[in-house]
Amino acid sequence: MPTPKLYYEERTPSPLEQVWVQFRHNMWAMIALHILGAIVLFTLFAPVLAPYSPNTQFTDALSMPPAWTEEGTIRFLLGTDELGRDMLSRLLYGARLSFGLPFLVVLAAAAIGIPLGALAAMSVGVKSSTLKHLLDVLLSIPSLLLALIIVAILGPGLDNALLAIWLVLIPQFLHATRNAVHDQRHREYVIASRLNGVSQWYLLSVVIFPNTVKVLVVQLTMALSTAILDIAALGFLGLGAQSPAPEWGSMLAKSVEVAYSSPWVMALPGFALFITLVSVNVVGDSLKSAIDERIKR
Amino acid sequence: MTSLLRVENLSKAYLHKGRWWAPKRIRALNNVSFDLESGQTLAIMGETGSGKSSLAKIIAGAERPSSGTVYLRGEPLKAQDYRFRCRHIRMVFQDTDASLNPHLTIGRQLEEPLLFNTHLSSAQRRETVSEALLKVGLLPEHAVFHSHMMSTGQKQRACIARAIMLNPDVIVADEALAALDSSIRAQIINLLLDLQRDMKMSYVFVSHSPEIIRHVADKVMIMRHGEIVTYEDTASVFNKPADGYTESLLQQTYTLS
Repeated sequence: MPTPKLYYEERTPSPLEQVWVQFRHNMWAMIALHILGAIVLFTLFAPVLAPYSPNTQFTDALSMPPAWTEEGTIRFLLGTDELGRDMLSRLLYGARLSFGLPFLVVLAAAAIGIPLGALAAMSVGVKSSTLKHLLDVLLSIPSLLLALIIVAILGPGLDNALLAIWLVLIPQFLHATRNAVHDQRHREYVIASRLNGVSQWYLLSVVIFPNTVKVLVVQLTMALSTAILDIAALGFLGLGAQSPAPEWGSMLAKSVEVAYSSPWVMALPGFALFITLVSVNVVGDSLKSAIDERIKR
Repeated sequence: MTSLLRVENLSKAYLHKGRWWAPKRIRALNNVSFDLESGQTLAIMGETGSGKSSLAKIIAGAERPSSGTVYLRGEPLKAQDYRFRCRHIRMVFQDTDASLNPHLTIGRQLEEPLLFNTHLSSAQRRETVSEALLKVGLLPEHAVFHSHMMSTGQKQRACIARAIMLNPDVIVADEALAALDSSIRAQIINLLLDLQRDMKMSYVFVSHSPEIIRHVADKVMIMRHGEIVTYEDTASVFNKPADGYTESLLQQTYTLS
């Protein structure tokens, strides 16, 4: 007898598709996602998009205001700084340092922190609780302070700043993953799966892991905004990216001297930083509520 | 003939974190022993904290006993050997929402025991899943549903389908009926009785309700403070309760319901 195919005609959307459907209904989330997409494009294609090299100095156009003011020219859309470097090119190249690098650092930290956290949660006893309490102590120190200490030991520079932020982010991932997995371990459906005789790996990867995605998404976006902010802060303090590099934080620091005579030199990198951070946070937050919403329905 | 399920000197103590050098010990079970014959239904009753849930969980394997052994047809069951145990003893939980994974479809969850305990191909597994779903009164189409798309009664049916997946000998139901409203409860009881008749299973029920116990159970076990007070046939327990505790337990719930 052929089984009736009543519901198969209308395919049930997969969990990921459902999250996307939820996400798409949120206007602000979509705006933020598009901005984020644009920033990713800038990061990837800065050499193609930027009109000039970020460090070329145009001696005929020092401190040129943006093109929409009376003194501005269309040659420099966002004006130039006090050394005659094109602001637009610097901002586009800066996206690589201020958004691209933190993004890679967060991925690298997640790649180490998440497996270790899962391992810590699946083990029990003294080892696990020692790890937990050590991490708690480590996490009570603000990330920027910890990064400052590491930079103080290793010396200033973009590489060391990245290394410091990577080291600071790993325990955060470890901690978040450990707590999320630990929270799941005694849920009834996990016990039920264990009573089904499943392997430890299946239990972790198929049964527990999808239920921790929400926590991990939040952690990833929080880590990304922390990394962006810390790189910028270290750059601003002169401990991260060094002067000619078009990193948004160090551009801000340099602009302090000319803040009154050419305010756009200060406003533009600040605005770029602000937009990036807000988009990252909005996308992360909306993803979290979209996942929440999917489970509730 | 050895009985299907034999429990010998089972004890369980929980350690509560007090001061770390002297954790508080709470005894949930104290030298519990009993036998259960194949095809019989055992109902466990008792006041809160009498150890009935602990006993059910230990039999199902969700908890490890502090000491003592559970024998299945004379063979001792190891506490961590889920592979062997799940082919014979399965559990239905109280909270239907919490016992189904919100991120997996019902079909995937029903497949789990087959995936790890049989050598069926994926087509055969799907076939077995739809058979089990039909047996508990759901449709094969429910396999692609997520648990949030189903009603409470349907979820409990799915849980029962998961429990009968490997044709077990014993199903342990830890207050599996308590959270259901009366009409669904009646449906599920009838479903369980039908399944028992068809598949020759034994049940271990943990329940509060004397009516249900009277309806389904062959034997009743009354527990108090981790020990067995009475272990007798249902009729004799209900007709002449051995002591005041048993009587009040049956009485009290009568007046409540």
